[in-house]
Amino acid sequence: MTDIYEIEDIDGVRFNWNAFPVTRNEAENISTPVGCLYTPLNPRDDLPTANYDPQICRKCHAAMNPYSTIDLMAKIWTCPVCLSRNQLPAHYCSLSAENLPVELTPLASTIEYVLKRQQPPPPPVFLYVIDLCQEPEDLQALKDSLITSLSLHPPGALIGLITFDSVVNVHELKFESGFKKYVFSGSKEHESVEVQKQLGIFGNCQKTWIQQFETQNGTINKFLLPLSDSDAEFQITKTIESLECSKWIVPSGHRAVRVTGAALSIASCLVEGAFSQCAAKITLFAGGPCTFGPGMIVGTELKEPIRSHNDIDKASAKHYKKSVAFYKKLASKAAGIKKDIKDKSIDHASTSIFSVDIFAGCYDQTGIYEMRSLANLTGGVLVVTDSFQTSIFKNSFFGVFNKDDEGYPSSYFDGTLQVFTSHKLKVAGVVGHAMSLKHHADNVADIQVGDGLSDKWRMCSLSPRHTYGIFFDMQTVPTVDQRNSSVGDVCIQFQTTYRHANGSVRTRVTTLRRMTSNSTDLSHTFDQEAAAVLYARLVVHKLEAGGEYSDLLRWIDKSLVKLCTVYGDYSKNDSNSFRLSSKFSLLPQFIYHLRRSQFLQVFNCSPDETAFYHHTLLRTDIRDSLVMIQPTLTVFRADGSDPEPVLLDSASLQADSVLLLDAFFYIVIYFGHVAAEWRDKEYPRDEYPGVYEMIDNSREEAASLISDRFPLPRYVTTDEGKSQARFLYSKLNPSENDSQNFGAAMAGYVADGSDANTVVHTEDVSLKTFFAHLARLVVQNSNA
Amino acid sequence: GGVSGVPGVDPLTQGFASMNLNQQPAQQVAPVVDPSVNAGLNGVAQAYGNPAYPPLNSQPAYYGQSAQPSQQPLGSYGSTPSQLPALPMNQLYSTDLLKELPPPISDLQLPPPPVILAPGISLTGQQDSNSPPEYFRSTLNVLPTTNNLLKKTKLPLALVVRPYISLHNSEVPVAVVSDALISRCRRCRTYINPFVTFQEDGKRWRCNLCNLLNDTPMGFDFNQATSTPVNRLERSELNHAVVEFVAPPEYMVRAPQPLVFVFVLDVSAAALANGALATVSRTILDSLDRIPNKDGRARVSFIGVSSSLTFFQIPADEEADKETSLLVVSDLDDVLIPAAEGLLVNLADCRSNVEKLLANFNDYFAGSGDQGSAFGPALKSAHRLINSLGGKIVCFTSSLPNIGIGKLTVRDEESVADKPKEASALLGANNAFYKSFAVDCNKSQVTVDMFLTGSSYQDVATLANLPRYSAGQTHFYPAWSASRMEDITKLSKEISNHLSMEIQLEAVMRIRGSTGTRMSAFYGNFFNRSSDLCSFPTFARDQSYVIEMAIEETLTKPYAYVQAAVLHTTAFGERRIRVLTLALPTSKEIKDIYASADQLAIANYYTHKAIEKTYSSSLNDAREYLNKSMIEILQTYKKELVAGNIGSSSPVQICTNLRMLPLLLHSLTKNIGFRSGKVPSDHRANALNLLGSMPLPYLIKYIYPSVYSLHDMPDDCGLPFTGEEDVPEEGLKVGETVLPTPLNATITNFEKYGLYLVCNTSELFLWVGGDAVPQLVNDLFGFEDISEIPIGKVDLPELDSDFNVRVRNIIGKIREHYDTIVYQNLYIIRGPSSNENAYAATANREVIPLRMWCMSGLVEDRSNGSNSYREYLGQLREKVVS
Ligand SMILES: [Zn+2]
Ligand SMILES: [Zn+2]
Repeated sequence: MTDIYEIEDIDGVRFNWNAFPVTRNEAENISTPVGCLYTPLNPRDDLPTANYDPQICRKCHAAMNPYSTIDLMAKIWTCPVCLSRNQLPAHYCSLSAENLPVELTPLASTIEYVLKRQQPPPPPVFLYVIDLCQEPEDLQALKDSLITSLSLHPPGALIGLITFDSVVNVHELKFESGFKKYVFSGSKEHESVEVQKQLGIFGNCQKTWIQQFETQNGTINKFLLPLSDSDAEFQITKTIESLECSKWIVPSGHRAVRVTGAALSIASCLVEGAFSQCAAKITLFAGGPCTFGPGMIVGTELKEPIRSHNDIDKASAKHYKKSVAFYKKLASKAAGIKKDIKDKSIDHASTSIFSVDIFAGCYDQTGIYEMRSLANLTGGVLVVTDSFQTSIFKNSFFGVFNKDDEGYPSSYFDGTLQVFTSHKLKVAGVVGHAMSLKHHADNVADIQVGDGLSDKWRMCSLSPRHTYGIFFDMQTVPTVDQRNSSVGDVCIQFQTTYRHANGSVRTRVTTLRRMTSNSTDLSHTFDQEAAAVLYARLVVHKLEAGGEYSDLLRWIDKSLVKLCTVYGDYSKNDSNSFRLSSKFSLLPQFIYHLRRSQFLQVFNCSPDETAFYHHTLLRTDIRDSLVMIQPTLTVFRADGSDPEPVLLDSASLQADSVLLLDAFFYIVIYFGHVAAEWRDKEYPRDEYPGVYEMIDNSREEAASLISDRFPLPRYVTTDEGKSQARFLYSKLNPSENDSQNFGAAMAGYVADGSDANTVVHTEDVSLKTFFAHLARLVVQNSNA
Repeated sequence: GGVSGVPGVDPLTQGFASMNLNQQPAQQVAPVVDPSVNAGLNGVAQAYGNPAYPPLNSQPAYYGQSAQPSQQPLGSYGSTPSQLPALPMNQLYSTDLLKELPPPISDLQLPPPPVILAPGISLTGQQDSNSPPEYFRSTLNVLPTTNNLLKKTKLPLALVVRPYISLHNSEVPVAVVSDALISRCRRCRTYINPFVTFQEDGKRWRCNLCNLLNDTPMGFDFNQATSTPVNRLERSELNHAVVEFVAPPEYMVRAPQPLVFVFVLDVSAAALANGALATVSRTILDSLDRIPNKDGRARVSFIGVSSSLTFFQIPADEEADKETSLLVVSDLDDVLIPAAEGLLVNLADCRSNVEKLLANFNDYFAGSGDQGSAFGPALKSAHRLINSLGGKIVCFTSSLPNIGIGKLTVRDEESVADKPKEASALLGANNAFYKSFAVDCNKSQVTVDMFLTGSSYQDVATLANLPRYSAGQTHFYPAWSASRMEDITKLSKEISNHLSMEIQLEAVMRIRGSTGTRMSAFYGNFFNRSSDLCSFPTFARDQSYVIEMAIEETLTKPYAYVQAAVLHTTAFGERRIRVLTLALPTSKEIKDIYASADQLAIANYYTHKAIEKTYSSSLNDAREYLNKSMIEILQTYKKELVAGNIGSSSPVQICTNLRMLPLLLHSLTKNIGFRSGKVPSDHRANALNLLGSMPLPYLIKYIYPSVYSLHDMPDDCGLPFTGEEDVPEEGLKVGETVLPTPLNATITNFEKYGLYLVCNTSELFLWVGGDAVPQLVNDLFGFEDISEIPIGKVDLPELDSDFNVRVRNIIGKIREHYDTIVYQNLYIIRGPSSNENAYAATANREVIPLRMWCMSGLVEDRSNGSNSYREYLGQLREKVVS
């Protein structure tokens, strides 16, 4: 079997099980559905590309690929997915074993087609939705960043501007004598067609952008200006510069009236009415929570506190349900999924789609938790920062525009992912920043894992940073005797079609072959890292869908116990005898950290933080996800030795060294108290080079971690005993102070981490205890 | 020294009482006798003992009355009116109407029968101790002592009040009491006035309305600031019947509001097509300096209306880097104020940005095909912008509101025109929003003014409710078009004058009468907030009001008094009270009542009653009401006042001072507001508005137009008055253009070769006889051939000929006003020639309607369905005899 890391590099995919179970018993034994983490736009230097359309199987629509069998004589290719025979077109007539088109070469298991189109797709729209209820310095910083961002957009991009406080302003950007804004009330959810009429753009959703551009009379050149036009850039800049903080008086004891929901709804109506096939990115810059109108998070009176997890759990957060429903509906509108024909907030004639990025710049919560579906379902980003003045904001915001190899921002539009599977293999769902199009096909599983009931998903926005969890359902045979009637191996094809920022439409095709347990032993195909991340995704997905925290703990524990029971070595009822092979040995540890992580321990976080953590996990690839689940700890010593990874354990704390914790969302440089002393005494560098090396190395390492991370992590430097050190302590395995009351059900509990004591949280359980309990359950469970 | 009585809060301000007014009950403090005060009083008494004041000028003869004896000031405080010798009243002279033909229309220019007051009835005997009729007049200048007597006379008792008789203070200044010492009757709250009497050595004054003794404020005799004695009889309020008090802080419920204008401009396709938006925005721009703003507090706001509302966020000039923003609001279900600031701005602070905005205004909307008019939502937004301040919403629209609240539809005129249902179907409000909104405006000190420039139906009847109940005015410019210079001239002059008016803000008017009288009905553009309190968010200076008065108890004294007080804030932030006091003798004799009846004031009263009848019943009933009222008066006169033996030979008699009344009431039935026949309802409604708000002199001309013959006018006419000849008209000053004597308004006076000017206060018609000699045509128009004369709405060409200059001078003089914003357009009409039948089909299509229009002002003639004046008198004779 090819190395899983190599496959990951080539195809951007990792499965928890690299083979599929064929019997019902096997399926039960693996305890979780087979799934993979797939990064469709996985960046790759040697990616095969074709400047033509793929050959499509006439029956199942899978693309011709290296696993297709070619009959050179008959000019026939056989589809490995459905086994149909397809005619090769005339221009493939020169095809021979020596002269294969690139898609048939073995390297083309993943290939990108640059599709031929009569008309290039319309340029992308970037619509900034700006909260004006901010302090002047914050708004100024935001304005500076927004103006800078204009130079980062892909050429020809269309820019629009919406601002809001207690009303919503749609800026007419082409207006040259002064400024012109269309102002909408924030008190209600507006009807899309009505808003378009009020903006004077009704009817434009059927016109192409070219038609509008040429007539100078449409949404384009009024509300959306092309950056290619230098006058337009001047107008946009001038308008952004003119923005002022809200002047509405906020009575004391009140929050500003902020109509974020209405602003997003108006933005969506503008996008719907823009032009045909419009793909937009709406970016919300929120300075606080929505306090009025649709999507309201909290009332304006300060005596009403913003909801906590506890309030939401007890159903006492009075705006919560309505608000969540509002943003969810907006998200399905974003993906162009029109459900209720009577719902006038949606323009059913529109062909537009959009994604929503949310940048929060506020010390308090801004209602990200309620709004999260907007980003999660559309492929948008969520970034929570304290203020728009912070470098976390700026770097994360500019990070969205990171350039790809061709010099375009590596953020693309209007993606759809279609999954093709061979006979007996069904697709069960996706967990990630995509939305099921509920497209019916023969290979759609009856069961739903994640967001399913479809073979197609929409990714309104996608990038090389977007990794999707995709789950499958193998049609198993009831008994071992029937193995023969099941398949030897399976074929899977992912087709991801999207608009590149350079105006091309592309399809990335990844075709995979996997064995089944008919031809291999499942246990050898296990990828515990992928499994851990898929566990995390499933847990987060279930939590997001309203799952009970305790149920989820029970489910994950049960699942782990089952795996260990099936694949572990032990003597019955002898927990000391319990061993796991190297294929499985890290899994309990991952699960242990996952259980303690911010993904599950939501009560230590605000709902907004939780939303942010969940959002990030649901997008991120395996490597980074693992860091989120189980942070890495590196020690830097003054003795000249190389930095060394150490156990994420309180035993790793040493007075004379520097520790670097990478918990993905934050990075901590921690000085033991002796190390801190050395640092503070400022010894001459040439006399104590080791001390300086230790310090410099830790900083360099931290900087290199931060450099390509999105969003930019919080960076903490702290010393032993200082309050900020809790960021490190909270992640450490409390090996030195173990709790005795870790229950049989393994229902853990983590206390608040604000204790400034060097001793790690008292009521936590150590990995050792966890493992011991696991072993006990496994050896007992085997009875069942 | 003792302060006699803390000035209480004027009951006028009761409407504000709910606002945090620091209201103190009037309290009576016994005056402390201070020798120095007494000394001062004695000094005053001595000084006053000398008849230092000139006697009243002798007045010209009215209606054959002899000049009244001069009033002599009294020698002491001690006299009471009851001790005054009884004076002769105006004498009753009868006229036989049928023998007085043509009616002597020069009577229409005369002042009312004099109010005859005994010498000494006023404190100082100043000529203007009693209110001049321009300000305050009564239908009856002698009051009947009982209600029975009043009923018997069949004459109405009403007051015509016009507190301001010029658009600007400088034109007619009034005396101002600026020491904030306001002495008022404790019981009836009457302001001290020239008709009170001082008693107890001047320590007390007796109220001339309710007879209560009140303490005299010490400051009347002694100025504490300068520690010097003062002569109380030099105080303005004791000398002049029309006076203005600067109010002390107790009269203020809040800091004086600034002058506030919200301009609501139609920006729809209609207003672009006829050019109204360009003209209006240009005019506002050009008039910015005329807005009363010497203290720099005036604020302005602009709202453009089409199917959406456009607000303008205007930065202050000093914020040099900022530009004006247009804020478009299209969701009109709720009032949405689109920005927290910058929508209502200080004019002085934002002057250059406001100018820029107005200069660009038309361009912002040019090319719009928007047919919508969300006028109601615009009004609500405008109101929301200023409801905490008050002010004026000035609307300029060429459209029928067709979106949102207050949406109107075209009414079916064809089926009801000239039918009994006409008034109820076309002249009532077609949407309840307008009246209720106007009342809301009134409550929050907001006036709405309308300038209507539509080319089609605008539903003046409905829209006029806004100004009517908020003390504004409706200005109607039918078929207005910027393609005609004359239309631009009229609209821009009137808007500019309107904006220049020194209006009063948050004003209330209360009228008090002597014990036994009560104000029973109120007519005019304002809101009658409580029994006798009329509310004017802003007080227009080009309107007058009629208040009906009832006599509830016998008037026992020889004189009765009425006092009008207007508490207001000036356009310059001063709280003031303008007080008008009118003294009237009383009588038990019906002849005295008739002999002092004021036919013009009576006509004004009946005009309001006819309007009321129109709204409540029908146009026909209104006309019938006017006829019936006249018959009743004639019957009463015949029965009560004409000696029996002459009755049969000359049955239609009336006292000379009322001999114009039948003509006025008959002419009124022919006014466009009331006439029978088909009249576009917008024109009808506009006429009713004008009839219901015009100051009396204009009203009379609107009812009975002035007709001047120009081709044969005396040599001095049309030239500046030299002062050498006899005075042709009263009050003519040297240098003013001399006008010809008006002719009776009848076509029989029109020669076919003549040139006539007809003026009805709204329009001017220049009638060129069809046989006018070429010389006249040439002198006047510079053409040889009469057929070349431009007809219709067009001004005279400016030529060097003497005749052209004189005619233009006359037109200029007629157009010149300091008390109305109206600018009359000139319509040139070519009359029929001797070889053309007046109504021959050969006549130009344009010509005939114009002639008809002009001739509709010749009210003595028979016209469509109505009698000539002579026929009318014949009918009256039949009724009076029977
Ligand atoms: Zn196929
Ligand atoms: Zn009194």
